[in-house]
Formats: sequence, C-alpha cells, structure tokens
Amino acid sequence: MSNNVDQMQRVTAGYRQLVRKRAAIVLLLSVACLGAFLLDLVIGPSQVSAVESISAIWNGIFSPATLDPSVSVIIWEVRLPHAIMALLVGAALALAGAEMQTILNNPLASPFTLGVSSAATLGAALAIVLGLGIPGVSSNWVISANAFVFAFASVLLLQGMARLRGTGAETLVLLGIALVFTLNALVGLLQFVAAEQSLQQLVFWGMGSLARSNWDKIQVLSIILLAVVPFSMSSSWKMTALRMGDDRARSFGVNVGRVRFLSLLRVSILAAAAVAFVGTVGFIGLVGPHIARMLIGEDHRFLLPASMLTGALVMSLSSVASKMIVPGVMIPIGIVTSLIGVPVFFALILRKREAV
Amino acid sequence: MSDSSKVISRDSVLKVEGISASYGKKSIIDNLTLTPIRPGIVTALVGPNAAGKSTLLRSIAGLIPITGKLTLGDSDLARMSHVERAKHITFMPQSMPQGISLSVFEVILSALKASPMGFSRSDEELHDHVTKVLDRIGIVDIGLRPLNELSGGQRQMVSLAQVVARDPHVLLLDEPTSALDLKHQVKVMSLVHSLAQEGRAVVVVLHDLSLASRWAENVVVIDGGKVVAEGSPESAITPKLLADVYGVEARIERCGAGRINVIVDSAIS
Repeated sequence: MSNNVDQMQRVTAGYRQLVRKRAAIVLLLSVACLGAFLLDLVIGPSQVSAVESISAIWNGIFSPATLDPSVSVIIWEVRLPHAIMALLVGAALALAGAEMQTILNNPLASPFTLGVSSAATLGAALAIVLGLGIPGVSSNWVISANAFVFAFASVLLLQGMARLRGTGAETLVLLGIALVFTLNALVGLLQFVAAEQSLQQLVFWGMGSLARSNWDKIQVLSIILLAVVPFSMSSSWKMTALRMGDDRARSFGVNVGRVRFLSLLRVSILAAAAVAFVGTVGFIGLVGPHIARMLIGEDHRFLLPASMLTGALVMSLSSVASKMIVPGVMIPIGIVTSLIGVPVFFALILRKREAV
Repeated sequence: MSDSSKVISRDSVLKVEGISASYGKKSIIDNLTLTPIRPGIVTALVGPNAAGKSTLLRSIAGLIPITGKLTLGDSDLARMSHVERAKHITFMPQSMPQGISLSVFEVILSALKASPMGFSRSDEELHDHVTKVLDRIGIVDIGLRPLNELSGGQRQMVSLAQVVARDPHVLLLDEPTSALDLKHQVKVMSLVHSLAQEGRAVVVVLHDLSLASRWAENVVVIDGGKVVAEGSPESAITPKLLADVYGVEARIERCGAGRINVIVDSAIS
C-alpha cells in the first residue's frame, strides 16, 4: 500500500512538473520570437546597421527630434511595421490553424488548405481587376475589405458543410480542396481579362507580402487578436476534451455544437484579417500548430499560445530569410513560407500514414 | 462526494419510457420501455449485433435526438442543459481515438475540467482526485505515459477512468471490456460492480453473456430495437432466448453461487 502511495505522489508531482515544463517551453518560444523580431529589425536591403536600427527605435520613442530622417523612415515606416506585422500575422494564422485542426478533427486543416486564402485572393482580385468593392469602404481599404468578406464567407460555407449530416472530416478536406481549385480558377479568369497594370498588382497580392504593412493595419490586427485570444483561451479545456471525440465531450457537459460554432467564428475572423492584410501566406496555419503540438502536446491551455508563438516565430524567421536569400531584394514572404512549408506538409502526411 | 445531489438524490431511479430513436429514416429503437433502473445494481444490456444496444445507451446519455420520456428521480432529462445533465450521467464510448498527444493524467483531468461539475475544487484537489482514480482503476503506473503509446486495452482503462473521475449518479458504459484480457475483464467488472454498490445506477453493454450473468443483477436483452427479455440473469437468459435472438444452439450451466455459464454448441442455420 505504501508503495502505491509513493507511486501516486510521484504521478501527481510528475504532472505538476509537466505543467511547469510546458510553461517553460511557452516562455522559451516567446524569447525566441523576440530574438527573431530583433533580427528582422536589423536586417534589410538598406544599409542601416544593427546599432543604428536599435538606436533609431530608442530615439524614436524618447527623443524623436534628434532622429536622422532617412534612417527614421527606414526603421519606423518600413522595418518596424513589417516586423510587427510578421509576428501578428503568424500568430493569427497559427491560432486559426490550431483551432481548425481541433474543431474539425483534422490534422491537415488550416486556412490555406481549406481555401480561406484562395477566397481572400478572389475578393482582392474583384477589387483590383473589376473595381468591385463594398459600397462605402474607402479606396485604401477596399482590397482588404473585399478579401476579408470573401475569406469570412468561405469559412461560413465550410461550416455549413461541416454541419450537414454525415459529413466526415475527410469530406470536409475534400470540399476545401474543391473550393481551392474553384476559387483559383475564378482568380485565373479575372487574371485573363485583367489589364496589364492590375494583373501585376494582383499577382503581387497573391504572393503574400509584408510590404503592405502599415501602422493602421497593425492596429486593426492587434485589436482583433486581443479580442479573440481570451475567448480561445477560455474554451481551451473544452477543446482538449473535444479531441477525444464528440460523444465523450458531450457526455462531459460540453455543448459541442456551440464550441464548434464559436471557434469557427474566431477562425474566420483571424484568418480573414490576416490574409486580407498581407495576402496569401501559406502553411503557417498548418505548420505552426504542428510544431507546437510536437513540442508541448495537446493541453490546449498551452497548445494555443504555443501555436501562436510558433507561428509568429516561423513568420518572423521567414521575413528574415526573405531579405537574405537574394541580397538587396525582399522576396514576397508568401513564397518563402510555402517553400519552407511544403516539405513540412509532406513530412506530416507521411507521418500520419505510418501512424494509421 | 458530489454536492450536485441536491437535485438528484443517491436513490434516484432512472426511468426509460416509450423512447424511439432513428438514424435518418431508419428506426433503430422503437417505443422502448425498461423496468426502472435502480441504483445499487448493475444492469447489463445484451443482444446481437445491430440490436440497438449502443443507440439505447446513447439515447439515455442525450447524445442523439429521441422521442419518449427519460427521467432521473423527479427530473425530466430532456429539460436539462448539457452541463446539468453531465453532472448526473456520464457515457463511456466504445473506443478512445488514437493519435492524441496527451498524457493519461491530462486525459482524465480534461474530463473534469470540460464543464463545471456542481462543486468547485482547487487544482490541487483535482490533481489528487485524478491520482486516486488512477489508483482505483489500477493504472497509476501509466499515469504519466502518453495516450499514443498505450495498447487498446490500456486506453479502455483510461476511458473508464474518465467516467469514474466524474463520479456521476448514472454510468453508461458501452462495451468497457471489449479490448481487455481475461484478468482485466474481471478487474473492470468487479470495479463496475463496486461502483454500483456505492449507490450508482450502472448500465453496461456487454457481448459476453457469461460475464453479464456473473456481474449484473439485472439483464436486459434487446433485439431489433425492442426488449425481448428482462430480469435476473437466470430468468432472462434461457436456451430458447439464445435460439430466438442469437440463432445459436446453447446450453445454460449452473455453477456454484447461483452463477450461470452459457455454452454455445452451434449456430442454427
């Protein structure tokens, strides 16, 4: 009996240690994010050194008058917004991906794989090529607003499909793929009829780039994240329970339909906002949650923040890479994330095959 | 242990009256009524494949829409919210899904944290509670192991631990012994029996009739969505019933202590 008591104490202590370890991993990821962010700030095509960059930020906050105007513009209007936007977009996409994967019970679910990005591109294309937009939206925001509305609609469509009786997780992914192809064809059609200048604009939009970042967009995306994250966190235990199947979760008192609906609502807002501001950024929403899950497991109290941090980290590092691959040129970040993401995607599919 | 007994007292009886359930247009159970299910005893739900056993259990658990009346004590279960109902009734599905990156401890803790349970405990108390349940089920040694690395039988024990941890008045267990070896079958059934003796109503779907007659005081035989026999194992399970319902030629042997053994000779073609 005393042996059992020993063992019981070991298990309780072991669990508490596990929790501390997970909190430590979240902390480490935050530090890594900060590191990547600083790196992202000091690297760029213009010859502003690391020391100059840091002091430009310092002076910009404490004594703006002393700032060299050319350095000030580079740091305050280019690098800082880009670097912050990279973190925010990475966090938003990865949180959306993590929630989608749990709620749809599908490891391959993400805003990119289920057509949310493609829908946003179609919305943007309508604005760019045909000048179609939501009435009353100012011309600065019309592309983003269109992208948002289309992305949001695509998630609602998926949600409607998911609610149909007998629609399993596999069906949903197939629907998502069908959606991607259909939307891409429509975008192709618009590209075909587009004038040369709008074609160029559209192609760049589709690539996904941080170059569109500005302080207004940062403000909007920050507010969205701050508003959504508390709701995600407050349903983290319910989502953990949901991982063990609908019946089980419901029998534990989880209103599964409600949890799923509210989560997909959050996903729509996060994914649509992120894509609307920077265009198509593939695979962050897929890869971020997977890396986080490998690091930290599926207790959603830790998985959700870890996914956000991993997404932000990968995005920030991709931003650094996008400036370093070709010296003096900033490659659109969507290209970089896809190049990194595709091999990871394949690895995940192969790993899943083995597990079955 | 639980304060939720304010509404549902420990001697509350579960009544299933005239319930029907269907998947789409296909009727699975039709106007089914059971003798009131008393707490303190184990009720075994047996019957051939596709008889509607799991559907009946899921109906009682509130997982599928039904018509008819379900009451626990004086309370109409249909009028309860998800959270309220889950305080009194917990359902254990047949299988625990694979590919989940959680430790056994977390799996059980999540069953407690998923919804308020009518009593508040600090995290420390919950952790101690989880460990006690692990010990009671006899799986404290795998408490920190990842669910992914466990065998089917071990996962089934973890699944049972989730239900036991919630300490409900009514336990609905769908084939809790299907993946277990002989020793663990006996361990689980004796645990199920003692859970009932502590004053809970336990309904358990079983395929093994000998196991059902050994551990259950009450046996309900279902075929084609209807109750075909009900009562003590000795009265419910007869050679005629086995021929009618299962289509097998079988003998019933009485062993010591009033237990019966079912010996199947052949299938009736």
